[in-house]
Amino acid sequence: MTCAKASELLAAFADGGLEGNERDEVAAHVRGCDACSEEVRVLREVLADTRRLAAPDAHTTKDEAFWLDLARDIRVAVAESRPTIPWWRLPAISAAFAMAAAAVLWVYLKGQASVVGPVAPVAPVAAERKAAHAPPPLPPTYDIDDLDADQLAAVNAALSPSRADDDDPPEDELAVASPAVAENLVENLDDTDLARVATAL
Amino acid sequence: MAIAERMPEAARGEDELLVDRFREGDARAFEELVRRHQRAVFHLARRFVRDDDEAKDVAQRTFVKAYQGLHALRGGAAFRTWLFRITSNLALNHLRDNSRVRPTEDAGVHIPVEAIGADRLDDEERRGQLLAGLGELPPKQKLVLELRVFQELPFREVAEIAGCTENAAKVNFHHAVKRLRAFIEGKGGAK
Repeated sequence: MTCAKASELLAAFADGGLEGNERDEVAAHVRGCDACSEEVRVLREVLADTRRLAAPDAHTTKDEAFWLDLARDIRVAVAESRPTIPWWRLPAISAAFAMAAAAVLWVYLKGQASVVGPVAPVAPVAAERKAAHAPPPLPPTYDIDDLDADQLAAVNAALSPSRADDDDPPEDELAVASPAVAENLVENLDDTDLARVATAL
Repeated sequence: MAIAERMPEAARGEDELLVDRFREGDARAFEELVRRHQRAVFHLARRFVRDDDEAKDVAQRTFVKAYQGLHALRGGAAFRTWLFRITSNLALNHLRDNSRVRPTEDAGVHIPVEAIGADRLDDEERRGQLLAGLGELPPKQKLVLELRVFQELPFREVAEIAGCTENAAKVNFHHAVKRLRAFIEGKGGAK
């Protein structure tokens, strides 16, 4: 350790305030450095003088009545104040916060499900349902009178995707099913056919 | 003997128990904390203010702040360290707010005259120089010196109270002692 590095620690060293490696390194330096050794000696004198200013124990310079008076004054001052209890230490507040957090989380997760449902996790389920309810394949051209009930229902679903009955699949599934049906059916219908479909339904 | 003895671990544990009791609603636990620490708090404050009345005022405000904030004290923090930090902040604020008031002879440093020893300090001039030096120390150096020399705290705790690193506390301490040495040697303005 150099003088430059040791110099700002000499007072702490002289006062016995260093520990471990730091103390050992400064001590080793001081042993080998006359200038720092002399500095430590002088600093110890200054510290001893400074401590002597405060000795004997200043507690004894006040009588017991002084401390009783101070304790009473503190008690009065404290009684006029109120402890500031952090909200997280209040049982009622923390319980309410936990409930509110749970409610927010529930609403958030519910919202997430309705947003991502039709796109990702629900898509396979919708596809399976679509396959189960798929109308039989249609010829390139056909007459509306030749369509069976399933095919007519598919045409109706394609034309009225917002209609919702209890037996109907959810709207998001209709959105998936509609394009496939529309490709085969809607493009082949003219205005007369559409009117007849509406009448039939 | 110093104003406040080093606090043994058992005493720290008692503080923690009292703090726990207070948080559980036992108001008497706080009174016990006051009883245990009011002297050290008063004497720490007294180093920075002009008279006993001001020190008592700082001590009162320290305990009111402690009462108001004790519920928020982190579990691992030592109560005394926290209390001394409140005290030093209030005392330094008091010092700053009253900086325009003409300081008394030993402003900022209260040394009981009856406490002066016999050896080197029987030299009145040397004593006066040392008092002048103590009064001229910058606030941070004064606080570190006070906590180390008069409260006999380890530098780790000094640093916590002074709000600096342990190394910074040691360096501040060194500069404080060097400055006192300069005053004793009649080089009062030396930095």
